[in-house]
This record gives sequence, structure tokens and C-alpha cells, in this order.
Amino acid sequence: MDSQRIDLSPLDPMAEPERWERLVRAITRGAWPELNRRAAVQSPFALLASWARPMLSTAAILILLSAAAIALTRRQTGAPDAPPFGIAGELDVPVPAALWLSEERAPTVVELILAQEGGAQ
Amino acid sequence: MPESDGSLVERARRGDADAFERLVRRHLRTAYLTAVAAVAEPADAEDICQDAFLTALERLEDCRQPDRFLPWLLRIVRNRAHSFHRYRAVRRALPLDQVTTVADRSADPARDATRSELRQKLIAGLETLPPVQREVVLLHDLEGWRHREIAELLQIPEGTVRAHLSYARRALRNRLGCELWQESVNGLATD
Repeated sequence: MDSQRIDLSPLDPMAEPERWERLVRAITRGAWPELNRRAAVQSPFALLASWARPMLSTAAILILLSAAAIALTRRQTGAPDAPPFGIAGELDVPVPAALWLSEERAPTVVELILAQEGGAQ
Repeated sequence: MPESDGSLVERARRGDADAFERLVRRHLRTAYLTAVAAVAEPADAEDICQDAFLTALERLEDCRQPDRFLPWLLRIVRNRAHSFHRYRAVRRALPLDQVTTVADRSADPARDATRSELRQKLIAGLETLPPVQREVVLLHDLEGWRHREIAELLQIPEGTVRAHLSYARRALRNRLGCELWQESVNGLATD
């Protein structure tokens, strides 16, 4: 076995850095049209994907702020008919229905009739 | 820690010019040596590399294992080199006035005459070897790859790589040694 390494350094392309850089630049410049095409194809989807997370976060913050603002306004105005039941109250769910929801039970026929007549309000 | 080929390929697929340039800088040398092993002429190897990288970019979706970008790229280089051989055969047959010559792109041919002469001798020596032996000796002795890595790339047993390397070295040493000896004899005769 011939185990002695041969000096092939005269074939090393990087021995001529300027020529090497020209080759790199020629390749990267030649790639511009294809890279631009790819960037253009990708952009609408990439844009939507990049917006999805911040948009969801913003929406969640807006919901919390709105709920807080509504609750504060109701307390300040001291509305007498303000339903006492948290989110159901804020959403103006009728009091009997809010009660049934909070107690997690089905209404009786009598309760339904009363609610329809508005007697419970 | 350098960014993986897989990540760079993914970015290049999205049109990221920086990622593509990093792939070029990382693998151009190996691609070039593979091309030189196939066509011997440095200027032709440069053309092949340029063509191969642009082809690779256009077909990036075909690279199913982005982390194994290099073997995939080198397959393209070999295919382009093969086509180039056929093209060159046709070009050689054309009348001289119809031939677009490959310009000598050396920045300063006189700058390193000795190096250039040595390079020509090495290229002439390499041309006498089968392509697989050229590739093995260039990757091992110039690029610094290990036997195992070359075997994996060329998909041949490691023992075969060792045999190719040994044969290529001996053939180059015999040929170059003989030429250099002949040169010195000629030099003495003219003194």
C-alpha cells in the first residue's frame, strides 16, 4: 500500500482567493432570479404565518381589556338590573337561564313558563 | 455551532440568499474537486460547479434529505460533468471559427508560473487515472476526507477506497516522478 500523501496543493482552488471569490460571486449572482422567484412565491403564506401568532395574542388581550372595561363601567354606573352572574351577566344572559347554568341543571316546565312570561325578571 | 445543511436548505427553499451563499461557500471546494476529477480542466470545473449549484437551487425540493445536501449536490456535479464531456466532444468537432473558446480566467497567468506548471503536470497525471481514482485521491489528499467518508459518498467499500487511493498515488508518483526526471535530464542536456 502506498501510504504517503501526495502534495496536490497546486490544484487547490482556494490558493487563488480572488479567482475563488469571483466564482462564488458568479454562482450567487446567477442564483438571484431563482431566489427572488422563491421569495415571491413564499411571501404571502410566510406573511400570514408570521402574523398569526401576534394577531391571536392581540385578540386575547383585547377581549380581556374589553371585559374589564365593561365590568368597571357597570359598577361605576351602579346599574340596578345588572345580573350578578359573572360572564353570563356580562353577556346579558337572562337571570333564570344564568341560574340554571350556574347550578348545572335543566329547568322545570314551570320555570320555563315563568321565564317566557318574564315573571322571573 | 455552524448552522446545519438541513436548516440552510430549508431557508434557501424560501429564497433566502444568505443561506444559499453559505451552502455555496461550504461545499464549493468539494464540488470543484469532484468536477476536476471528472473533467481535469480547472476552467471547465468552474463552469460545471456554477451550473450544478444553479441546477441544485432550482431542484431543491428534490433533495429529500436536506441534511445530506452534499452527496446530493455531488451527484448533480457528476451528471453535469458527464454532460459536459459529451458537449466538449461536440464542440471539438466544430470548425474553429464557430467555437466559443473558454476564456483563460486566470487573474494573472504570469504570477505563479511554477505553480501553474505543477498544476498542469498534476492534471495530466490525473487524466491518466480512472475517474473514481481521481475523485478518491483528490478528496483524500487535498480535501482531507477520511476513507470512511469517501466510501459513504461513493457508496463503495472502505477497502476499495484504500485500494483506489494506493493505486492512484503510485500511478501519479510514477508518472510525475518520471516527467520531473525527464525534465531535469533535458535541463542538464541544454546546459
